[in-house]
Amino acid sequence: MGKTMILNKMFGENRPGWIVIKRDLEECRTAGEFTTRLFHDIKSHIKGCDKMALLLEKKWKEIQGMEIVGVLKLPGGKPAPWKDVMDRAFMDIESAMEKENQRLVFLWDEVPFMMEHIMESDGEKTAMELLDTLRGLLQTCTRIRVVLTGSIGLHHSIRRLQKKGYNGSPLNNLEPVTPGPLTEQDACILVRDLLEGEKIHPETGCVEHIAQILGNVPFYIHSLISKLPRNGPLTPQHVDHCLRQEIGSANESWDLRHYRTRIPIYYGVEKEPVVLAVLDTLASTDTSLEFKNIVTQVGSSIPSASQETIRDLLRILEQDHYIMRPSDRHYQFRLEVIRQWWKLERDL
Amino acid sequence: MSPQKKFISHFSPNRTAPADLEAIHVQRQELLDQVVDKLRESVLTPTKHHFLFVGPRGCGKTHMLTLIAHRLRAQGDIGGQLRLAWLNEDETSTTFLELLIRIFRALQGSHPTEFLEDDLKSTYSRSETEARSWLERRIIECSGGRTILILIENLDTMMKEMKDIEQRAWRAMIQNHNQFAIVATSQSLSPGVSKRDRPFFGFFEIHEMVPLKVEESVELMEKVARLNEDADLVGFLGTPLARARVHAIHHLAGGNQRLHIVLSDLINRETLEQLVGPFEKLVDEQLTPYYQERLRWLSPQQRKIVELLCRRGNPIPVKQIAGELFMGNSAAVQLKTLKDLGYVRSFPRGRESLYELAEPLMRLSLQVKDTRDRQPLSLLVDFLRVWYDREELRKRLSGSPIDSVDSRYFKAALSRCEDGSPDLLCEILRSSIGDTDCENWTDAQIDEMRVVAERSGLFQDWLQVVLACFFRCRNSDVVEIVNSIESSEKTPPMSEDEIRHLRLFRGFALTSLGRREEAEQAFEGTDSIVKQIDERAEATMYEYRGINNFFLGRFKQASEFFSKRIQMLVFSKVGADERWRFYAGRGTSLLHVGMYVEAFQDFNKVPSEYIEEVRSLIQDSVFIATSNNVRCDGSVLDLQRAFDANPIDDKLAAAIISNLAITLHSPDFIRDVGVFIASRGGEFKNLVMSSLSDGSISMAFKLTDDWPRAVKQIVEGQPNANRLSHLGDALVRHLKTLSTSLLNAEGLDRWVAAWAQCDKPELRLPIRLLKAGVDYLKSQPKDETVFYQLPAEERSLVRQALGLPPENAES
Repeated sequence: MGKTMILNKMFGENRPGWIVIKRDLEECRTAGEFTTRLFHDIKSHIKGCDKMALLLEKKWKEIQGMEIVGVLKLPGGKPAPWKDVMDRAFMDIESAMEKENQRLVFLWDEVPFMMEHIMESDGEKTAMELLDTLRGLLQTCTRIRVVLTGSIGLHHSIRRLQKKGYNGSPLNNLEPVTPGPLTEQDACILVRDLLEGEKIHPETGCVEHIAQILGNVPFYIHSLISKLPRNGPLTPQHVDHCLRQEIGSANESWDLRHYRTRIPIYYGVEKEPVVLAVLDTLASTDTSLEFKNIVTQVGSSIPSASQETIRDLLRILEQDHYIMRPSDRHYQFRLEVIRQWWKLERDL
Repeated sequence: MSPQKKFISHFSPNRTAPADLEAIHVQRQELLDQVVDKLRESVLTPTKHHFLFVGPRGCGKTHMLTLIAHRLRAQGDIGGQLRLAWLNEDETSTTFLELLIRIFRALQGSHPTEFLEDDLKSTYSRSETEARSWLERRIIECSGGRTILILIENLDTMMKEMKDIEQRAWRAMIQNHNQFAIVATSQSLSPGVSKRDRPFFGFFEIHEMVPLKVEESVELMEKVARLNEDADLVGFLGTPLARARVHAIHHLAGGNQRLHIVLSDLINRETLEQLVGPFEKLVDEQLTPYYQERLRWLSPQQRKIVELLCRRGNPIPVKQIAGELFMGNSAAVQLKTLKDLGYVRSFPRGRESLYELAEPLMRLSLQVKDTRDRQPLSLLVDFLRVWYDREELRKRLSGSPIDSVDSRYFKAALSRCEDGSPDLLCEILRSSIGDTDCENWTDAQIDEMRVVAERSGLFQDWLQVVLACFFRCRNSDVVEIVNSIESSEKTPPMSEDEIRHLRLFRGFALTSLGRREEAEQAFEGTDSIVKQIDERAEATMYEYRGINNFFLGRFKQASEFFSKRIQMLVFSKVGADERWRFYAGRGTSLLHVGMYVEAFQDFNKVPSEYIEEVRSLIQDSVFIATSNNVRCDGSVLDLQRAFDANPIDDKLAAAIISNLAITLHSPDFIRDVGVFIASRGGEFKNLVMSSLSDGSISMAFKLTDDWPRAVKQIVEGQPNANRLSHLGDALVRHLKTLSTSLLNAEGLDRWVAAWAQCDKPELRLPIRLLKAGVDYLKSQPKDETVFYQLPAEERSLVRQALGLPPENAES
């Protein structure tokens, strides 16, 4: 849904008085690597700011002679304790920021993957310590802010730690944001700009058509536009044809099959037939369907499916972004592109 | 001395001169332009693009990469900002560090002063973690902020062998340092890029490299031939036979670009000596290693499936594959992978899928190993079946020394032809056309199917070709084909009915070509056949024969054919806007045989909006009648009866009478008709006079060979000033006909000059108007100011004659 792009935009448009440091952390395998990256990033970003660099240089003098090649090392060659480095880096930068009346924000991408790697390499205990340390430092250092993003939710990592006895709540003071599709207006701007960049000339109504059939999702918009024909003005018919080719291709690169294969995993094998029947029913109609109609149609193919089962499943399917409620008691596929694919996939 | 052949590496396009690769680039020109433009943008701006080309081996991925690198290197203005790291295709990386080493080594190879050997050496002295950070940092530092374009082949293999954590490290480097662009190739869309939980999902702009179509295969072969300055081959590729052979190669090579380049050498070989030697050499040296190499990429289970399909010539179901290989359910999974990799293709049959090799040439890889006793290669045998028909194979077998290589191949090919196997070339070409109705064939398809028909000699094949030519208005071809069939002694011989069937279409074609006498000869004896075909053909034949006989001045026969056509109207789907033509045609024909009552009945069936067309047709018929010396035998009494029984439009009646008067009637008829006209009053007489003048001018206009004489004859034939005045009016009205005629400026001038020679006071004004009208018709674009040579009242007359709206004066 464009998390990395949001970070890139925040990084490129930072406000005066703020220093922004962006880092993709999925490469970090240990807490030591993470703190080394942290240290290195602070150092290289503060370099341009003479006063602050002087301040920090003075403070970090005691670990001069270190090697920044993956892991910080003390002059004796022993790896620097990651917690100390992290504490030092945060506290020092906080005091430097205060003196200069500046603020700093870390944009950290793919944090859950880093946490997974740390759990694998350093063990769950280190991962728990890292999260607690980070939470503590963020509470103390009011001039430092973080934006954490991940392709998978950080709560997956925390759930894994909780199974190993972790009872901290490191995310409590973070505001969760799930970037959804763009607004219709923004999606049209994106489509228009991308078409212009590709030197494709759309006929009237084509821009809105692309945004609409792709549910205003930037990823699908980017992908489809790169496949559109360049010769002659673009019509909605060209777009539909290209979309059919894309979602009907054996080499389907949008992984829409994911919407099908995860059903037994998410809902259990026993509920799979009912989920399929619900989605088949909704895919077969071009408009939304009322609850009672869904119950009737699903019931005709699976008589054992009770009204309550269907109601529960509809709620969960909505949470999992399969479907949406355009109005009270009405349901439809959340994205038209998924509905189109579902119809192809299920021969509806 | 023949020009030296260019070196086109079949397996390593990067060893071929880039200019030569450009010269033979097909299908993906637009894609190449776009990719190069976006990579240029990647070099010059912070926006970085990453591309992945997916397709089976030999589809042109490396060709594409080579051209991308070549075009970027040729852009001098970005050279300083770009560093290109083309990774060695044969190496792979299982860790991010190994990948970094390959990138560094590639950069060092092209820029040794920037990417130092010592840095690489220093890498090896560190632990893996340290080495990774060190080398990543050195690459970034040494690049000096320039964009690094990484070209990677077989990305799918690399991702398969590289753990997720390593791939994440690689992606992190790209995200953390906004100076990388990647162009990668892959045999299939691997999970590494197509599954949403993988690091590179949604990362690349993916382009599928689809197999060449037949037209693109021809284009490729043409380009290769042009590059080699092989004019003979270029010429040959333009022939239907060559296209048919390309179809065969396309079928055997599965649209694989590499194999088309390899096989383009063989396409115009005519003798076996020229074909077998190079083919076996090709098989030994290129194709077998190529396919064996492809097999080596597969897992043992996948290889077993491919080997089984190699042994089978036809598609087989999954169940059978699983059964024969004792594989159980895993066969379906492996087949799906093989399909994704481009090794096999599937066809649905009911609820099951049938599988066969995507490239039939792959059978070679197995057969070569199985034919140590030098049995003829089945694929070469198939090629021979494509190259030669049965007759030719027999001839060549009898001319080959016994037990020679040639005779073994010819014998094998002939035996395949005689064991009931279908003609391979015909099969391939027929299947390429599929179910497309011959009404919708393209010219190229017609030419290919003509090759099939020539090869099979079957009536049905020829009929399809003839029909397709007719529908495409290739009438000369229809005539030529049917003539050649009649004169050839091809086997199997056609029955007399079949020949007549084809002759019928020759008749249609000749009619369309205006060769009416020949058309009528072709139609002779086809009556019984046309009834067996369908009503549409029968109706068309009557219509065409009616028209032919009309234009040949055989009005009686014409009226009979039009009658037959009219009788069929109840069965055909002809609308009212078309039906009137048959009535007009028959009615006009009947006028010339003196059957006025019947003619008038027909004219009364013509809707009033078509009366002008009927008048024009009657004028034409008069010209035809006089040109063919056709005498009319009708009497004025009959004419009188017709008028009484079927009163018709006065203008049409005037046109009939005036035109009949021009035709070769007896002097008595002319005299009596004068009395008849006078009896109908002065207004009708005026109409007849006008119509007579219109008819005279129309007749003169048709005599294009000698307008001055024709015009002089008409003018001098007018008995008095009143008739001359009518003639002048008709001359001005005739401007409308001039405006729709195909006469060029010179012709228009000749027409004006023919009239200008007549010095009659009654014609001075009409000739002046004619001249102004012609000046207007000659002007490009149309210039109405030419009318200002005339006073206002005359301008109004000429505008009216030309059908122009009244002029608007400036306010």
